[in-house]
Amino acid sequence: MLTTPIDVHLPLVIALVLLCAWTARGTRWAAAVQCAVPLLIVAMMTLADERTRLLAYGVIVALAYGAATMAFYASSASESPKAMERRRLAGWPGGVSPPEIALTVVGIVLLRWIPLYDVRIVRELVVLAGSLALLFAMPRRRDAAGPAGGTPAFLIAVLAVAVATPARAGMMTFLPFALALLVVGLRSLGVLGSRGEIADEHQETAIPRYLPSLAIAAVLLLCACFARYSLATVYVAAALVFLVPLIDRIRPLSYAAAVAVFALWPWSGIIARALPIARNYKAPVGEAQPVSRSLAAGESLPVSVPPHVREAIVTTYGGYIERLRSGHVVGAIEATDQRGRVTVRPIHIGDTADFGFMRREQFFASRNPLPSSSPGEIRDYGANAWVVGAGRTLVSCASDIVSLRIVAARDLHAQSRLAVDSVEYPKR
Amino acid sequence: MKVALFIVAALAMPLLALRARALRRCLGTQLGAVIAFAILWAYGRVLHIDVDPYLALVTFGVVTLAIPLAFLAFADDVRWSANRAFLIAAIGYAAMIPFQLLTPIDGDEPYYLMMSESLVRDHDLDLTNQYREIANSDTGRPDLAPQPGDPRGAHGEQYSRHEPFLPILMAPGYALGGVPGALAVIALFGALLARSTVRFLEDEGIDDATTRALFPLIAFGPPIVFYATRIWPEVPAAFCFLEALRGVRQRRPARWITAIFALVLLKIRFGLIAIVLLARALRTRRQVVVAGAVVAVPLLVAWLITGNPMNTHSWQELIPGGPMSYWRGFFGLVLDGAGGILFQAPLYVLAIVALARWREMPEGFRLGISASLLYILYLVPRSEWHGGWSPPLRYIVVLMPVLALGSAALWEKVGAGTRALIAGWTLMLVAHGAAFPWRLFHLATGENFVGEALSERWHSDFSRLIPSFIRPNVAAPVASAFLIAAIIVTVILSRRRTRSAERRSKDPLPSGGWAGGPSTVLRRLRMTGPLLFAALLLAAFTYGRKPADRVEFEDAHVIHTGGELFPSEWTVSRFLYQGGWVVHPGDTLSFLAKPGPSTLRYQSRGGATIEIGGHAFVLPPSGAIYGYTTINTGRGGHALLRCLDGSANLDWMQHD
Repeated sequence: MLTTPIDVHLPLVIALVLLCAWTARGTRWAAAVQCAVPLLIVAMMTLADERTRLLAYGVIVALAYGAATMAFYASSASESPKAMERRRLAGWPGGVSPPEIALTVVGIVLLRWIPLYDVRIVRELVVLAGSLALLFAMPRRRDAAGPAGGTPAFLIAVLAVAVATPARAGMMTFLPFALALLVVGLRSLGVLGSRGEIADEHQETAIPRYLPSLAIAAVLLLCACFARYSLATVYVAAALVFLVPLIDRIRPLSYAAAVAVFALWPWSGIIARALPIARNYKAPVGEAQPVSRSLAAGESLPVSVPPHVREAIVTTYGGYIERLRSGHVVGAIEATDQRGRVTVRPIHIGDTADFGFMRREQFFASRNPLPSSSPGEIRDYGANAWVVGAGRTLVSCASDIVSLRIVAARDLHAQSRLAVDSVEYPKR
Repeated sequence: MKVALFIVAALAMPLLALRARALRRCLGTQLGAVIAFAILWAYGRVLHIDVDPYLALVTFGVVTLAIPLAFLAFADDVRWSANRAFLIAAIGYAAMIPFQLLTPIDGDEPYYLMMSESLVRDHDLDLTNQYREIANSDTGRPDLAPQPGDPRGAHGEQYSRHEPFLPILMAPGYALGGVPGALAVIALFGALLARSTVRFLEDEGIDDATTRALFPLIAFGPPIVFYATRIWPEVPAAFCFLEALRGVRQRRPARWITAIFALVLLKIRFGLIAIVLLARALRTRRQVVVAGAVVAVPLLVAWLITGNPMNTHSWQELIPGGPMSYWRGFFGLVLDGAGGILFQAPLYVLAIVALARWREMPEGFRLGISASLLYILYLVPRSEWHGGWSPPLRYIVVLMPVLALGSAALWEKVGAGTRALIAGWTLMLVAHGAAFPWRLFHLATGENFVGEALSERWHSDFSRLIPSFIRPNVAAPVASAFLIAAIIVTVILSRRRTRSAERRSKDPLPSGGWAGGPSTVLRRLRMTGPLLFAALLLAAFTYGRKPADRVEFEDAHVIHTGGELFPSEWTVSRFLYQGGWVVHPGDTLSFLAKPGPSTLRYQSRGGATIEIGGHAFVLPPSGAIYGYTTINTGRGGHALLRCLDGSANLDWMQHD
């Protein structure tokens, strides 16, 4: 009954929660974080439905992680610089403390290392090291007026970069290192200031020091709008690094959103590659007629239509079409109504996508975007989780449809296929 | 309506209780909770999460309302007073009432309401016409009939066995607002109880921070939150008892006389508390006379209505019962899975431990406990000690404010982990009771909703791991032994602490003690409370999945195909019967069994033949009594018992 990889990794998850409790030691939150352990066991014992159980694990661990993070940063903020100096290990580089590193490691292990059997250890260690480098590079408050320290927004940004880093895309594994270098470089040029520095009262203009940071983030977000989908996730994650001051300003809203997204770690592949699925998901609306046929280039498939329907939703996905860009036509739906009028609805990349383009190993090289109307079929678990690239395309006629034909585009590659999964007829 | 009340409560509570930075943070946190919930809901749709949407929404609501209460407990910028506690409690109960009205009122509730109906409409307590027109009654219970023992008047009037004082109190509310209006009166008493409890804690020296930390768990935790939003006399009685205590402590005769009078009017059984309290409070002859009237008037009212001054009780009930009944009742009230404090109101377990530190406890706690001793002494040996058909802990709700004081006195001494577990379990109980108010009423089968849920999930008897004193199981004496050991250890440690404090006061210089002494070990154990609890859960889970020595055929882990429960589910005082499952030819029972021979207890007038483990066994006729026979389950594991011929009431099977 407890057969998913997440259930199998529960002892590891419990160990990670205990590590979170260690980071919060000495604060009033340590006990609350520890309570996550019996809660995980209760969820394991009581929840029969697999996905409900995994989401329960997700929420419990996310809340524990969030509490540990808040406790750590709150206690750091209230400590005097001398107290912090006393706690720091001898020879330890300034700013980042062992609990902060522990929290980063916990987050990355949860988001990238489950299931363990599929971890490419060298690459993952590179990502981990790069993320830690980014954490060290983050500008921190260093003025004498307040204690040195970070903010939970640092962790949000670092974990976002870590989860978005493709592990099977060559040099992209070094993305966190690249960002760390960028941040250090900008700081050394004086573009990025330390967090919390107030404007010099003798300055003539009171420009917030984080405005350049926001400008860089804006540029990255703009790039994301024009980049292909698999690159856009990287740009957005990189932008978060420079949006840390803004994230910190709109807490606890941003923190709550981060905890909610983190709660999806049992399907962390979705966080990495398919976060917009909640917006694009469309539930079935009518009686579905399974078809399960695949079409080669130029082939067509007639589909029988029940009486008195004016709309049909065809669910399709592609085979070997992951290199096709958004907007490329891969097929069409021809609907003939009772008056003989033919409505042709092209099927683009964007309406549909390659079946497995969101798999971990295929994603970064793919040019497909997430279909705008997706049935949201999620497979696998942890970092391997992916959304089937199926898309739902609506064709509607002014009067009752009498026949329906699905045609694959003639210019499809020899190996490529357009597969028709099912046809739905929404109730009038 | 529920949503509107919830939004009002979610906004009003922080505005009442917090200010400045704490208020901003609280509202921000609540907004954050809404955003997080919305995100999880959106992804939950995609993942096809199988959760009852109503339960999810109620849980979210409970968590959102818990946020300002948590800020009240821990923040610095608070506005706190007993009056604010009253307002916060009133708002919370107002938000809770619609959830409790999801299903028709049950237990004694419809009878109290019918009496209020009769008072408002007919200006009498004769319920004859109410029963005749039951379909039009606001009780929503067309199945209602007079209860056993309901008295009849000289001219055939049908009265209720319940004291009329509560219906009189509810009548104005009922006249103005129907059932919600009647419930509002009870909720008003609940809010007054919350206020008085806060004052009581303050009067007895509990510090402000502890009072604020405990207030949500007391006012919005079980059992008070459920009895404050349902039609029972328990919460008004708790308020009256508390006011009587405070009046005695403050030497204000007008207060305690009025409160005791109201207490006994609510229920004759509270006269047992009144007697002891009066004995402690009376100082002048005038007070003795007034006290006599205080006790006599309710008895007179009862005699006028029912012809019996004890109402439905009899003097024979004052004769002490056997020792086993005391064991079941006392330990059951503390440890039973369905009706005990440990599982149904965990905060008050600390008060049981506080009994072991009697001399260190506030005077108000000692007065309250000693005043209730006679009441407890006569409660525990009763067969209905668990409350009968009512939410849990019915008969000791009246004592909750006193137990709250005991818990408050020990609150800072228990570890943060234990406190977190108590708070979390309390939150879960409240969410469960709000979402499924009908589950507050549990058939006294010896199981509880936790054991049943696990048993159904894993098809293994998990209920045996949870102590039951309604149908005593192996866990019951084990838990009793643990409780006794815990109390003894508490007494020993308490005495050691007192002696070492005395020694220290005589010799302030440290004498080089053992660094790893018992107190250090205990302190470390306290820090890992949740982890120890987790280890216990894991051990229980591992053990629970193994076959039990004894299989009770009516239990949730048994898969029943055909047949019926014995006695039937809604038999009055079903807990007095020996239960079982009646099988007829073709009916099957599937359960996890140990291999080899077992003794089967059954009852069958004409005899029966059953098959199990590949062998047939004849059950000889046993007449009207229970008989025993030996059967063999074969290789054990998931056994299938099939009735081949005849019919039998199968009670249990015990592995030899």
